[in-house]
Amino acid sequence: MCSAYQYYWEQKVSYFLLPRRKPPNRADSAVILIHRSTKIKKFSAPVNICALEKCLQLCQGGNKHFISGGDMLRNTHSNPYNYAVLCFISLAALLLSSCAAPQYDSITDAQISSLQKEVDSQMVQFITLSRQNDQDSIKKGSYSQNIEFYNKVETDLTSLELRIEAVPDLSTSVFPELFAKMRKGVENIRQAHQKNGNLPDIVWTPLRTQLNSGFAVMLTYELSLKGVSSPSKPTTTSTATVTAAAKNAPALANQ
Amino acid sequence: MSSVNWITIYQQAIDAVKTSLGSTWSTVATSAQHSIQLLVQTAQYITDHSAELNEDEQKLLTDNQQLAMQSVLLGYKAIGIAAAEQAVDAAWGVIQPVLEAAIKIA
Repeated sequence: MCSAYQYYWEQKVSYFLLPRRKPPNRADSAVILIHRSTKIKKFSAPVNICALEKCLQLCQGGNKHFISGGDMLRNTHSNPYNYAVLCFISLAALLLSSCAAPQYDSITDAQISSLQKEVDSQMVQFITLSRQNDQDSIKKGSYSQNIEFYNKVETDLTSLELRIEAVPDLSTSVFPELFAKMRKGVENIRQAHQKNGNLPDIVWTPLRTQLNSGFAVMLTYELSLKGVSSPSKPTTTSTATVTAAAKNAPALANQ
Repeated sequence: MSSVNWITIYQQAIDAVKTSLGSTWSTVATSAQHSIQLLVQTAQYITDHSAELNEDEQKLLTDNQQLAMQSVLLGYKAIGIAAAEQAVDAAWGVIQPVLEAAIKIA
């Protein structure tokens, strides 16, 4: 009669191995957790998901330190319940390893902020030029003088999109749509700007708020990875967007 | 200034989006309400400036405000692209006829 451990060993499932020496880090404590769980009556403790996940990543990465066998081999006995527990852990391990959370990327964060700043400063520039309304300002604010701006935004959006989507993840699956919306918004502006030659400040002002709403969603996502804000609460209710919107239509706010 | 009661339109738009999103509404209520408010404010803004805005500019503002609202809703894991677009369509379905009528009067 073989033990549950031996059975899994033969199946080349290496999640249930215990290091011989004292665990030096969080990942090892996850191994202990698994070890304890195999002692039938003790598998009621809450599973430390992060630690378990980390452990599995190390195991799957071929870290032999965690594949040393040892005490667990001797302590684990063949038992239907034991087998079920191991099956559960195996399934949970596979699920966890297939949906690892994305990591915060400071470069992506900086790129989003940089693009938002670039677009916003250009919107402010358009507003200012439109308000000055002199010959020189009209020329500077015309489409023909700002084609480069639209080209650069398109390039920067593509660069950002490629970086974010380079590591596909369930939580980033929405990004292609977000970028599509952002592109569509910029393209709408470009077309209207091109058709009319110039746009007045009463158009640029709300457009500025609208574009910032799109960037706010992206920034919220990235900052949530850093632990700065909750991913369930996009920052589109930020003071900036509310203030701008209120400026656009004070009557509704005052009613 | 327009004589439209935009607060009522706002409430009707919220009801329409609630119906569209169903149980997901409670998850997104705060951001959705703010987005609907911006959508209504855009309509009000266009009405108030209808003499200064041509049709292209009016369409640009309404189209981009709808895109902005879709983006906000897409920021929630619970909402997919189809649900986001339907929710925005539901809100716009309430606002658009009021806006068109208000522009004609203005």
